[in-house]
Amino acid sequence: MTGMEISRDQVRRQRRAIDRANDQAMRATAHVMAAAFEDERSSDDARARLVLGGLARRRFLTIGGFSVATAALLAACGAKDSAGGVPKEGEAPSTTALAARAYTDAILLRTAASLERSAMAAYDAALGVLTGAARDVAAQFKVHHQAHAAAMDDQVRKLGGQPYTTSNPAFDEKVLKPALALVKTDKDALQLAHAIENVAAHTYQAFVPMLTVPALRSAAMTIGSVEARHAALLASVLGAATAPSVAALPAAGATSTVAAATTTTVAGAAAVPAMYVVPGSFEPLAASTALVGGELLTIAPLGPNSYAY
Amino acid sequence: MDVTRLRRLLREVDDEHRDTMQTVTDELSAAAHAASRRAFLGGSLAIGGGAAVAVLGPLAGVAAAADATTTTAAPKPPQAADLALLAFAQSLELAAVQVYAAAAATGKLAPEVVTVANTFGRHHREHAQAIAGLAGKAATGVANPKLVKEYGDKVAAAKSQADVLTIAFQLETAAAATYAYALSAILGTNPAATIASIQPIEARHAVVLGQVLGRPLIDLAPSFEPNALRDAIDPTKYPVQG
Repeated sequence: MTGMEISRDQVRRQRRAIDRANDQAMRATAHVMAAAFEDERSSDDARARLVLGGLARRRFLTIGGFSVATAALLAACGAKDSAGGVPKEGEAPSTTALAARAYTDAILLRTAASLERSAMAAYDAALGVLTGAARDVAAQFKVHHQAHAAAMDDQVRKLGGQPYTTSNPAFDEKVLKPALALVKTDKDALQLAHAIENVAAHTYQAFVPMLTVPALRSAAMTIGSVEARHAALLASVLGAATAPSVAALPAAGATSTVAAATTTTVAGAAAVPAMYVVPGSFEPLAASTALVGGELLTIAPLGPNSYAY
Repeated sequence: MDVTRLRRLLREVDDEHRDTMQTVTDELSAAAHAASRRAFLGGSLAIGGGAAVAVLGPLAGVAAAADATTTTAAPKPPQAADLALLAFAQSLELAAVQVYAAAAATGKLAPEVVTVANTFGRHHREHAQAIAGLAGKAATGVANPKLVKEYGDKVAAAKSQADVLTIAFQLETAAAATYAYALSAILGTNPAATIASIQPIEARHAVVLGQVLGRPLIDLAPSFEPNALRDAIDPTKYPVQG
């Protein structure tokens, strides 16, 4: 006999053992079921106790798997005893749903104007760091943003709305203020400006399908496209590749956010985000990265929490 | 970008910015108030198979915008009136693919510039594919013949790399303006979103080419992207054939 073979005697012995165990289990199960359901004197409560509860360990062991499974199923489906053993873990407390915030064309344009003014504030800060031609470019781009804000204000008025004449508070608080605190060098300022231009471009682009009037979509992209041009020029100043793939962007340290910038301490030069003049075949609605003061910032286009309602 | 050049270019920007801003403001103001300017073509644009689809002007349907107190949800899919513009846009993109292929084949471009031309050509091919997905049967899949002829002839006559790149720069600049203009006419939000993802890329292409050419900053970053028909490629003058 090899190791893989089993002798006939061994098989017979095992079969007899199985038969005996089965016979015992069946008799015990039949007894329980008869006691519960065939004896008319047995009350419903007694029947339930027999199936569900009060099982001594010995009986539990002898009534077999079927009864155990049935009891488990019934227990799971039955009413919970609030004072008893079934814990209420997992039941969430009642909550009140947040009211949906509707946006209109005017709100989107007010938001755009507010972002333009935040961009102006960013360039104001950058002008304190930049020198030479880079400073001149920043000053010029700031003038563009001022014009964009004025154009958006004008449209808001035409729509019967009230222009939003200050910078975007959510963007300022969560993104701009902490980012500007990190700006130390001209490169920091240009990196941040590049990211903000991308954020502006992508915010306008995201607004296009949300605006209800086609002419407003066109107006938005006469500006959004210029923000993309700004970003392209700043990228080339920073020394960018011409037309690389988005997939080549370094993944290290990059995290996505909804509205606020996240910071990730950069360990080495390898994590410097690549500056792309042309990000790919299509303008992405993606977050932009900037290495400012040794920290990698990830800044997303404006979302509903940052709208100027 | 060369720092000295930036300084020089910056001086030219201010006047242009004010002019353009005024133009855009005037345009939008007119859009909101001139009900009579509903259609700039007033006709139809022939597309493949002889089908004719009306092309509305960029200001069509905008007249009531200023006074609107309630808004109606914009349709998502391309509307019937969008199909002709999408078919035209596809033909424009396919023409750009051919122009870049011809440019790369001139032998006048430096190797790294050939790489740029090939990359931009690929971008345009992908734009054409995306637009075809929206236009469906209206998309002809044929490069715009008049654009191919016009720009192809210019490329063939180019004597230098700068000549070739100037042609590409003009095409990209016009394409960006064409899409800015087209967004005024496109009704469906899905095609509008796609065009809005393509238009900034054409603008970025123009920036790259303009930098290589040493164009003034005013050409690389105007304060507003032109969206008037005079700056765009007029669909009625460059009919689609399929």
